[in-house]
Amino acid sequence: MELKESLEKIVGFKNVSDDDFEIEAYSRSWSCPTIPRRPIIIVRPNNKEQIIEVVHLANRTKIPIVPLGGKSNCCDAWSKNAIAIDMTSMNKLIEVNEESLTVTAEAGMHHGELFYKLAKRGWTPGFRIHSLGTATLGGSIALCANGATSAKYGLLGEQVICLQVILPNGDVINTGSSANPQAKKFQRYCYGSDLTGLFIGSNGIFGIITEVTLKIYPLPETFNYYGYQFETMEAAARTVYEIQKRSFPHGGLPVESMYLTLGKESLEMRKPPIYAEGIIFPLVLAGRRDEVEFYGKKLEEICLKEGKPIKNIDLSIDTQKAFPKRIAGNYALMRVPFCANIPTLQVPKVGREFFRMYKEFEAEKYKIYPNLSFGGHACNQCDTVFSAGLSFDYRYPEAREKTRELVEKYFELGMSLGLAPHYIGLLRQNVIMPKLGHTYELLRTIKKTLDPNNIMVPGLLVLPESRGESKDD
Amino acid sequence: MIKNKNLKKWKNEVYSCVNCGLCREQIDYKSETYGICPVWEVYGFDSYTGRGRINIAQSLLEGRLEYTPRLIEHVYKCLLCGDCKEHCFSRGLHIDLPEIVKAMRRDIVDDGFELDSLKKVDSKIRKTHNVFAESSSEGTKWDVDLDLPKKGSILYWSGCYNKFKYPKTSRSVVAILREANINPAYLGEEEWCCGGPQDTNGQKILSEELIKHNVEIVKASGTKIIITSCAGCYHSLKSNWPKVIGELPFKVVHISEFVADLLTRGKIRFKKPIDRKITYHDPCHLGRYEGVYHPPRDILKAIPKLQFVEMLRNRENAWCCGGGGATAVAFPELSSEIAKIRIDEANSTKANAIVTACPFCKNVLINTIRKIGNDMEVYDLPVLIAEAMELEA
Repeated sequence: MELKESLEKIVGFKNVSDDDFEIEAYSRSWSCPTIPRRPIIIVRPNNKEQIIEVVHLANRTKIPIVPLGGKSNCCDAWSKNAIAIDMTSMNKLIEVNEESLTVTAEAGMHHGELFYKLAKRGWTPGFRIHSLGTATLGGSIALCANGATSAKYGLLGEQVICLQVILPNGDVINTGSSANPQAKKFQRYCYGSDLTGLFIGSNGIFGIITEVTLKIYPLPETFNYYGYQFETMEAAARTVYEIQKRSFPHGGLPVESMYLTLGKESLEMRKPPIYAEGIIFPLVLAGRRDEVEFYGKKLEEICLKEGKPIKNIDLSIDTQKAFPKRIAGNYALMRVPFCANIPTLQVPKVGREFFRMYKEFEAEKYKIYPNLSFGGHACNQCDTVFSAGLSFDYRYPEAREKTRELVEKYFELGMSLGLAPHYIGLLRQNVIMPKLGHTYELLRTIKKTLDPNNIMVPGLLVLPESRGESKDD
Repeated sequence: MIKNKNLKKWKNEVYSCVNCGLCREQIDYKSETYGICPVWEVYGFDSYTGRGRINIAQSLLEGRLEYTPRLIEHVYKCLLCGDCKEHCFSRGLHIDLPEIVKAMRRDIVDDGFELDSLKKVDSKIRKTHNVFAESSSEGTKWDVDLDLPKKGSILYWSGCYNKFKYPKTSRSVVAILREANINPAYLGEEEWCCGGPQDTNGQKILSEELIKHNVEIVKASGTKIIITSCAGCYHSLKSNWPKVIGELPFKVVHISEFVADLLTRGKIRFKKPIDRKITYHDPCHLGRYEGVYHPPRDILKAIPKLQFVEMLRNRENAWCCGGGGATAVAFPELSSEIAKIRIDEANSTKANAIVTACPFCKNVLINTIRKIGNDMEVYDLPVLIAEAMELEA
């Protein structure tokens, strides 16, 4: 029986397509400089039973599988010539458990939908991914995304309690407390090793995430915006660090979001970047009104030690309406980000190194421009998600090639400076993974054990024996 | 083999897409998230979203993809509703996907591969100059007892739908205008199809022929202002005609704008209360294409006792009726599926009736309501205005 016919039997003929044009539409993610990676067929399952059957079929035919979410990743996170499983039909909200403060949803739901479904009930997942309207829960967990509110909630992985995953052999497992069918989904660390963690940032190579349980929080009553400018990047970084020190997960400074930038272009979107010194904006406090008012004063005290308030921008914007759009707009500009974590106090030094490399590369000669900043946004402990975004003119093949070259250099530089990338993908792995020694070897062993037929997103994270295959070809 | 002659002109926009996917779903704080592309909502595959279509356009331009009969169908399975353009954040450009799709359609037509269903419509238009293939003189019957002049400074443009299918709308417009002491001119059989549907289908040459004829006739009638009650004609006259002819020597106004102005100036007034709960469906050509959102709402809110309620997706976020982009003709089932979603949305407001300002939207909504057996009523705005003014149409 032909592959298409077999898949149609599993998911129905309306949910399978091998049309050339459909395959083109499923060949690109947000990471545009890469060569499109065409799947051979696309299926749209509606439930986990159908996925299990597809996995069994893939094992029988030795045809690889790539689960796809919103395709909003920036790191080129899938391999070609595979059965693409479009997870977006599996988008049901399963349970909001106010007793255990968790929400469980199917993995194909996108973050925006979860965010607003919870908001209606007075709850929030807290973590707000940048690509709110596209990134799915499963996809973003498989890539361990960062988000606009990482200052308070960290990387997405930190919010994950339990997962339901279909393994490469078709078995279904539940991680965290839900491994015991009698237990609710409320605790991640139990019954031994943290198996939830195995799948976070896994690029989907160990299994297909079908259900996700995340922490939830009461919806903040209010959001206040602040912005400060500093004479030097070091002063800005010191200030962010001082705020982070006080930002305990519970009861500390309710700082949701804090961007630290070398340039002021994040204030003036879509204008040429200006390499001014440190700026912290937007700095968002969220919580109860009295809490936000109290900590707003504390925050001001810290920021005014070395900085001054930014004027001439509208801080009274309706953040709930404007902020997601602003973030979306900003990130729509950014086509190839370098994005990795680094302790906040190192950001100025790292930022300058990246800026120097950008200049030395003469990137603008190839119509490659920096977007956002050589800065980043604060993560919840003492680190910052450092980013050095690039935008290029896609019409020029040379710009595409040169962008990829510069990205590779950025990652070489990043690894040498001790930055820790939290999502990998084909765009980055050839530089990153070989540097990880025995840790990488362990990943390879786990992959071989779980997926002996190598059907689950082959070539990702665990490099093929012949390295060339994972490069664009 | 279809060449990409017209598509190439849109290369800059095609390559401005960053593939972010924000054209798929709308996010609005404290409300539902909901689909942007109605066709994507029905079929689910990514090729139907704005970014999917851009991916296809890129692949065509790069020679990795060639037109097949299925791809040709796919290109016509777009409503051209413009919702993806409205929500596009790529470099702040609002990439003009409807124009890119129209360029693809022109390429298809230029190389002789137009869909059969649309070919039939175009051939009818060539013969009769209207989309219903009715004799043009038949179309003047709605005004047979009205004694409308052929020339005058204010001209009523009925459009094919309100000429043949919904004459009561045209008669209502005339009654409203006469109440304000305006006796509009009407071109009768000399009013040809506005050229909008052919522009949509990719029949650029035919569209331009119709536009040139119409502009000459309107110019000869001494018109200063054209009033139309069709949102599709309004967009065509206001935005497509100048692209062919250059600056027009007359103004184009939608009846909702004209009546809202008459109300403001106290030239007309509503006498009869309409004790009903009513919601308004924004036609894409009037709303997203031309930015006319307030006048229809101002009018409805001014009618005594009328309870006006908004649907979840309104104004620039409005859900297409399902009939745009030639879909109602080429793919009626798809069109109905999309209309059904809109009707469900109207039902959820508990309104008794949907008012729209476009006969094409009205037609698609009414046909679907009949099909699904719903009791929602659909009015064209002028008919409701005339009723509230107690005018005989």
